[in-house]
Amino acid sequence: MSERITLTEAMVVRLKRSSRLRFDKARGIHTLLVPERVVVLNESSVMIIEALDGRSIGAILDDFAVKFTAPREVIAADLLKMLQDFTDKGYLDITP
Amino acid sequence: MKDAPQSEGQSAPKSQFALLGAASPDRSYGLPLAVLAELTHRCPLQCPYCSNPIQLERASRELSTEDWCRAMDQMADLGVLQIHFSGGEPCIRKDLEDLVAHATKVGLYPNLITSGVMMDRERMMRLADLGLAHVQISIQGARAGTSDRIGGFKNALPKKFETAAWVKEAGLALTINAVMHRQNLDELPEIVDIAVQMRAERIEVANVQYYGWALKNREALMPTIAQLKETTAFVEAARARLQGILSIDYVIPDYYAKRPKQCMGGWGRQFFNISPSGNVLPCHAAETITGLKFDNIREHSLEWIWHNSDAMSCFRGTGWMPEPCRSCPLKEVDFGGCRCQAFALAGRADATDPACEKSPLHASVFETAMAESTHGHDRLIYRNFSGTKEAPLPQKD
Ligand code: SF4
Ligand code: SF4
Repeated sequence: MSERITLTEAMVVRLKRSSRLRFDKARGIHTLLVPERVVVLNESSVMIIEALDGRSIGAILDDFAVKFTAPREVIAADLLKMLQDFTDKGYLDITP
Repeated sequence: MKDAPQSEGQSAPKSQFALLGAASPDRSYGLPLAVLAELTHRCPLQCPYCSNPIQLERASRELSTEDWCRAMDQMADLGVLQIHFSGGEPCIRKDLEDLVAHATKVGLYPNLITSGVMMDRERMMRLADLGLAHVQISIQGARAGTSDRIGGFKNALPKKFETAAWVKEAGLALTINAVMHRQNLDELPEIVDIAVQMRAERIEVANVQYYGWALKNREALMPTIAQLKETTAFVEAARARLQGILSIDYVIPDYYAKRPKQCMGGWGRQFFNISPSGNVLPCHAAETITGLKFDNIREHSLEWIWHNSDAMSCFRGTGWMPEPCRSCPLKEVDFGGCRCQAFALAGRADATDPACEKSPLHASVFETAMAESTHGHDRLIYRNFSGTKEAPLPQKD
């Protein structure tokens, strides 16, 4: 990759083969295991990651807005912030 | 290749896990998060700053596949999340595939720390299919001459490029480990370019830590202050330029610092290391401290060792600290710095790390570093089994 990717709603993002969602039994927490880091996830981040199933970001947002009866813009801001951060750190694969 | 730089030493996993280091209610320390599994001390390279002990272990003393698999079962039960297969060169072990498969089976996140000179494409694809997640490849220099001379191995760079390409082809995460010192610091910009070319997500830029082999070579490796200033400025600019392309982890050498580096989340709090023969160490360099008694996985379970081993508990927490650490507000931040460095420089493992400004030895350590960096010779003593040998003086290019 030679340029930073800025996410848009049309893009499809997936977990890289090297990013692994894992429930940590010993501590009772959800984690994303990535190189040299253990990212502790709260429930909503787990839901976001589980939704990365090949749909576009926009489609996921439509779905969440209905499911959680919350304003789409509010959800979009949170979700894009988290996914952009994960993208910058190299945890996700992106298809334009 | 035991030269993977990390913030704590040439190869100890870093403590990015602070969040999880929280103590359990009945104990003052938590559960281990990551384990460095040193599969062997054998290595085709001979880096003069290797963090393996001066007394390298022979192949005949290495743990068997069954020993490692049993240890991994126990790690998973104990709460370990990540395993770093390291060495020496872990690819020398013919059972690497079995070990990666077992790590995956018990839910550990497998990472391979390698020099990248012994891989072939089929093996990389096999390892990926068995669950390998992340590969760290060391780079000794950006130019062929430097790379060959520092590693004591011919034509390593082209091999590393090949291995890096296979890592990416397999869809795995790639980190470049660059251990820096006076003789290669000027090549750092080129090393960062190489990491980008290889499509690595991360690069770990660590300055040599001076114990074990590196202490023998300190004169030849100690960077100058001018080099450090330049490097720090370069890293800051590169971080901004490469945001979203390459993450840069950078650790300054603490001989020139005012405060010591943090001892990886604290001794015996988040991490342990298993040596090729099964000794459990609080950190990869702990065998450089003479007088510590280590327990072995052939004799005890990891759970027993984590909670009961003397070596694990002797510097755990803050109770062991002398002044000035004892009354210092930073004692829970850096845990008194590095025990291995304290032993190497002050002669006592329980001394305040001389890298700290408050240590009585700080001034002399700083002056020695300055003097060695400007007047020291460049001859290297290589890390190998057959005693040491000296390199020919570098060709000026
Ligand atoms: S005195 Fe001890 S605890 Fe305080 S900063 Fe120095 S090494 Fe750390
Ligand atoms: S004592 Fe702590 S800081 Fe020093 S090498 Fe060991 S783990 Fe790292």
